[in-house]
Amino acid sequence: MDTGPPDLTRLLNAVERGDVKASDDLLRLVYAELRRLAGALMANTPPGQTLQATALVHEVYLRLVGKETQSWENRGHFFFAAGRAMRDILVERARSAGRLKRGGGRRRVDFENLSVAVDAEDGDLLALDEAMQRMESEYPWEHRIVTLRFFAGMTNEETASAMSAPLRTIERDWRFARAWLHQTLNANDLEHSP
Amino acid sequence: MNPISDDRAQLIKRIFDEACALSGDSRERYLNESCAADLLLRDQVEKLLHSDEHVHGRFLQESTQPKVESRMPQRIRGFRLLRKIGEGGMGSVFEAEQEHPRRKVALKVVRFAMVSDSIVRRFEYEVQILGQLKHPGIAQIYEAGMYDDGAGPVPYFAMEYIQGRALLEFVAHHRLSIRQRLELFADICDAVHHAHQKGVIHRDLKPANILVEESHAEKPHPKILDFGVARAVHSDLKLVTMHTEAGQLMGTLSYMSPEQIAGRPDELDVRSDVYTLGVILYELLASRRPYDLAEHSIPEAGRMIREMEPPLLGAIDPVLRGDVETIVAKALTKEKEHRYQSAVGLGEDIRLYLRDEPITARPASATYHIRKFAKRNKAIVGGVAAVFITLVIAVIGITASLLKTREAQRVAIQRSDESQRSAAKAMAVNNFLQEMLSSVDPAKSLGREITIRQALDEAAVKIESGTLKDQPAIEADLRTTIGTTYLGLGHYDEAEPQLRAALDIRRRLCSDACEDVAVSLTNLAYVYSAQGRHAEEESILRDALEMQTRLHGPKHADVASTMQSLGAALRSQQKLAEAEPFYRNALIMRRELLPAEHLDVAQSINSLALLLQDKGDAVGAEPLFREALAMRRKLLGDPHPIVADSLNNLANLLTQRRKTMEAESLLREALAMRRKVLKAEHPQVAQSLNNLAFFLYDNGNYEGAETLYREALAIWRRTLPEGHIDIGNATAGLGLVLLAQKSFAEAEPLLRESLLIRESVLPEGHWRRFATMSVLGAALAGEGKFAEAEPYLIHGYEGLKSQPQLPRKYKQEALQRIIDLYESCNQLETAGRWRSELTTRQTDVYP
Repeated sequence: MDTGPPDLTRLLNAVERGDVKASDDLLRLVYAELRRLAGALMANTPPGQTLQATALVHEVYLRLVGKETQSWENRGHFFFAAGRAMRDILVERARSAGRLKRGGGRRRVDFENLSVAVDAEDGDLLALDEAMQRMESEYPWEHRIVTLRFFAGMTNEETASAMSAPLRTIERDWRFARAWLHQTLNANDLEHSP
Repeated sequence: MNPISDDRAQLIKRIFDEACALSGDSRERYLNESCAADLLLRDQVEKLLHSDEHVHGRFLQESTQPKVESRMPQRIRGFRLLRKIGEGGMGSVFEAEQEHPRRKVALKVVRFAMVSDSIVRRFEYEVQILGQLKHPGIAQIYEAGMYDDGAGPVPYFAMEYIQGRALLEFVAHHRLSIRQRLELFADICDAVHHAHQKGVIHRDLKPANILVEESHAEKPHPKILDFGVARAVHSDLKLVTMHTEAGQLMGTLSYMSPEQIAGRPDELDVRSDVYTLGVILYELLASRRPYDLAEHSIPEAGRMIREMEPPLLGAIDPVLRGDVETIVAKALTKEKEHRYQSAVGLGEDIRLYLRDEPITARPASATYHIRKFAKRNKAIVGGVAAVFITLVIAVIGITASLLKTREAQRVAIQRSDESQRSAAKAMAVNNFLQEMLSSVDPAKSLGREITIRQALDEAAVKIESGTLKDQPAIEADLRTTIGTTYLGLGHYDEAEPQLRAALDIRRRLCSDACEDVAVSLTNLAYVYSAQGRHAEEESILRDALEMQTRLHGPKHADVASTMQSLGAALRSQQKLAEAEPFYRNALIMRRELLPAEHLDVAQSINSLALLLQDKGDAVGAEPLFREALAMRRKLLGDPHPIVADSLNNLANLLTQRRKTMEAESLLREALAMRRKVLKAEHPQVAQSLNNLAFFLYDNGNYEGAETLYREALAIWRRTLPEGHIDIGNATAGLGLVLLAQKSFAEAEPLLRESLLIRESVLPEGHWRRFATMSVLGAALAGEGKFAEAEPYLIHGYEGLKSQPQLPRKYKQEALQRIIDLYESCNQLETAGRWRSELTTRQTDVYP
């Protein structure tokens, strides 16, 4: 069993202290592990197997962090990195599968023997990714919430703990983030329509 | 679209948030007001509000999180896949149709591929064995094998397709009675036993793996799934990595036996399945599992399963008291030697019970209860209990046939060979105890603790009659055993003469420094400590320390322990400066001798922190308390009485440092934890109540404080000897609360009692004595007894004033009481004089 690099706790602590390089290292590490795991799944996946991407994130957490108890802040850093990495991987796969066909609610991208299904009602992964990029510059706090909630699969409660914020704040800001993303995705659709 | 400025973004967000809380006209009014003429802003906010209202319910919600999936194949080997019916940690299950012979099957496909040839060979071997399992209670495995999905061999199993509900769902749905549940369960035991006879252990039994067929209307028919699958698929217990979610793992963990948790696959045998059956039976009857693992980390959960005793079934539902409880407890015994030795043994006992015949399991023996008692009271009993437990278990474990060999032992004792003599001595001690313990009929006594107590009393009488006069070494051993047993049960007055006598005998037998004399000394010191006789404790510990140093040299675990105890004995006598070097040395030595994280290290850290706190160094104490708490939590898990102690200590310190938020939550956690693991009447539950009461008082919640103080005081009055310092503390606290509520007459007797106790227990000049005087004075003044009040108030204040380490607040409160006194009897001039002291002292720097 791969127990991961032993200094992960130190890395997370460094991120907690605001070490930018550590943030990059963490992201790279999580990204590599997610890819590796997704790859392993692809190779050995029995038929009909579905795994939510967020379950994959949790699996990576178990693998890398394992049984060590981490502070909520550190868990937050980890899941934020994992959420970012997940987003990158999903987007990359969507791109590699070629142009997405538009129209219809649910879009499905097949590649190799794996498919990625995204159910983002009014937009697809790439549009969502673009919107997220914009959100990061305008609303970094809310961007963080979406990354944890949606891409890393944390609950509101977990997100609140990870961000050291009251649950009510997270719920309020999550509401805003959804509305904002929804509005942005719709606006983009209009802009891009011929 | 161009990015907007930060301020603008935040403005939009703020207006959106506000508007979200409003509706209709008031929202409209708010938007008019806040956006004013900024039409762009208004437009942006409105678009967002529109999105907020029209956002699809599932947008960015859990169900729409990206999925990674692969397509379901149409067929695998000779099977046509119809639909997916389940998915678990190991893989997916499909409803499928077999072509030859044509029948419906459940096809299980394992998620992770086989990695090596040896595993593949082993899998094939196991599959052969599984094919031999044929029992109506076991889902038949028709076929198992590998297919290649293009990336390597993937194992699959084709099993009998069963139309039924999972066990727990079935019993709930059909509202089965306890009797029906037991009947059903006995059938499950039969099926498990059949597999065991074929040499197959399930390893992954759980209610979800047991289906009950609906078609058999009169008699429900259980079918166990996945027999042997776990073993066929995994070469060892790396089960953990197979699970994607911790929740799923926890589900599995609940049913694992202690030996399975400990990760010793070679120790797994049929009795491990018996344990798991016990968990299932427990859940079947009580609708909850023996351990509440949900709130715990995986290692903590593991520790709970290995170390904690689950609540007896009868404690959950009184209907289950007696035989059923006994049967379940036997199946759940930690040591597999003491469980039912087979699944059929368990099933048979259930059937005996159902036929109203005597069952084979013995009601929870005295051993069991003592062990439980000692576990619950680890904080008090400490190491002594450990010694005692092993001893009693050893005694009980010896079969009755040993009794017959007593004659042989007597011969052996007469032989001169030293090793034989000590073996014979141990045997004689065991036999004596065995006889004592078995002479009391548990069925006839009221409670199990009394059983042991009676046995001990009888043993004590017997030993006094002089039957062992000519064998002093054995007498000393026995007296030690009896004494430490009393100690373990908390009967200190009975323990003392036994341990004292044992010490005297051993001293007579020992010419120089002897290990057993040192042990006797520390035992006796423990009694004195529990009785609050700290001066005697100190002197005897100094003897022990001297002897241990001669025996083992200056650096030894025993030496460290004695230093630790000596520090505590000194601290209890308020000899703080003398105590500190002992505590520090014990800590240094333990850090050196023991692993970085060890309970003894935690104890030393904790003690040192308490000492620092006593000395007024709260800042220095805080990190130590935190370290001790973290270490204990990690080593012991939650809930645990020692962890509760640590929570409590830290909370008290934080209260002192005015970190009230954290303090309150820790105090409440400690109280809840103690209530969970200790008896309701336990003195430490009262301690928690007392602490929380003080906290509430300190934060102005007098009513809440009063209730808790009264509860604490009631417990202490029932469980502690008269005049105990804790009673002095609770009466002082309650008095203070009553004073705050102006119930002066009620406060007075309590405060007098407190003062009496504090003056007899605490050393001269202790600040608490003066604090009580001052408060008593205030109560008297409140009652209008001004003349009586005056000396208490003044003496109390002067005493407090002379204590440099005390917070100024205490002194000022005492001073204020004097001023109040003179003002209420109209001696304004005197009041003014005291008041001037109030202002001048205000310039004092906080110590």
